[in-house]
Amino acid sequence: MKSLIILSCLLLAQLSIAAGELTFKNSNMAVSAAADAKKIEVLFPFKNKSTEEVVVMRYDAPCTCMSAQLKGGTPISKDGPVRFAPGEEGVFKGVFELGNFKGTVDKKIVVWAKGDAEENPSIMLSTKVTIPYLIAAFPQSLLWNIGEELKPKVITVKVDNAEPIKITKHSCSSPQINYTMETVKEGFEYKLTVTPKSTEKVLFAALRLTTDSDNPRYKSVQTFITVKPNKKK
Amino acid sequence: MARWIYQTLALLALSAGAAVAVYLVIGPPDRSVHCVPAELKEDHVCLATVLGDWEGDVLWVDARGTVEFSKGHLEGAILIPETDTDNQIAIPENMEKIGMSGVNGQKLVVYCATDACGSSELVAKKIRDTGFHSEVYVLQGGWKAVLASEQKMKVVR
Repeated sequence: MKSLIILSCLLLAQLSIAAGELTFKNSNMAVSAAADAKKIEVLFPFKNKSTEEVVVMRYDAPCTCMSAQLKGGTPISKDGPVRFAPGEEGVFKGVFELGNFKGTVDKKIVVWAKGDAEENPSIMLSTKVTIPYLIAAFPQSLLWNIGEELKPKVITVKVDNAEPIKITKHSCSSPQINYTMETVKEGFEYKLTVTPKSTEKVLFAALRLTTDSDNPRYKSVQTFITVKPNKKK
Repeated sequence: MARWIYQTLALLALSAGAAVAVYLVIGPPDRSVHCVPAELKEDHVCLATVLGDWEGDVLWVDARGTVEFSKGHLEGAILIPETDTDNQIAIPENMEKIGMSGVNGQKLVVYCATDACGSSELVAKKIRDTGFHSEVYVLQGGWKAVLASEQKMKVVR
């Protein structure tokens, strides 16, 4: 009988601990990074506004390009769970290594509180990261269907920056492509006129433009050329 | 005191017996990643659909980092990390594999570490933007889903 009472008490204690909750000022952040940023840091401050203790069992940034840190609370063991008493504050920090990344992507930090199932963490902290395209091709790809007339198609390359970014070199991965590059406005706009030598065979190629930018993120622009069967037929 | 110990031991024995019975009747715990096709975002796919309906005949694209890829990846997968997607796609062998898989009617499925990594959506979009392949999907659950069903797939380590 005594055992039953002890086990019941333990169970109730467990349930009461799981009932606590961390309140975040914002769990969905939108961040714009500078064009030359190598990494960005995002902070998710929170407070335990419940009347119960909350234990953060573990947290993870599932992308290799992101790492997560937790500040505050009382560690129960080294690199183990961290306890947050009622009223206590803390902060999760996400560090996102940008590499040559451009565009917009969603990154998350996943947090398991005590009582969370492995497949169902109770806290998900999202960051929408946007890194500008200072130079981009429109469209980025050209398509000819097999047997299509050999008409040239055009790609326009535009620079969206106060300072010019000049195209210094261009090359194509396939000798089966004819192309010319025309400078519309040096450092700001270029026009590529592309024609495959034949539309009889399947072809996948990349037209690579190299710029004078010191920033590796904008050092090259890739455009893609395809000749393939029309599946809609 | 002795009675209390006996009672506790009896309770533990009963619990262990129940656990063994459940294991024998139902089997080991299901560690597969929860995935319901009707609940998926557009262009996401369950591993069960890939292995079942599509019979595993897909081109896999690994959107994780080089280190993770070298530790283990699906057989035949090509590595296209999100931090340098355009340049990685433009590698001639990658262009050929991606393009020809589309021409041959093979679907392309991108995976990253988990649902939360966000890399596979980006890589999938970039591949679609090349025009090389039009049937590009994101694997729900990512590498975590692969590991949970590893016995049904070929993982290169």
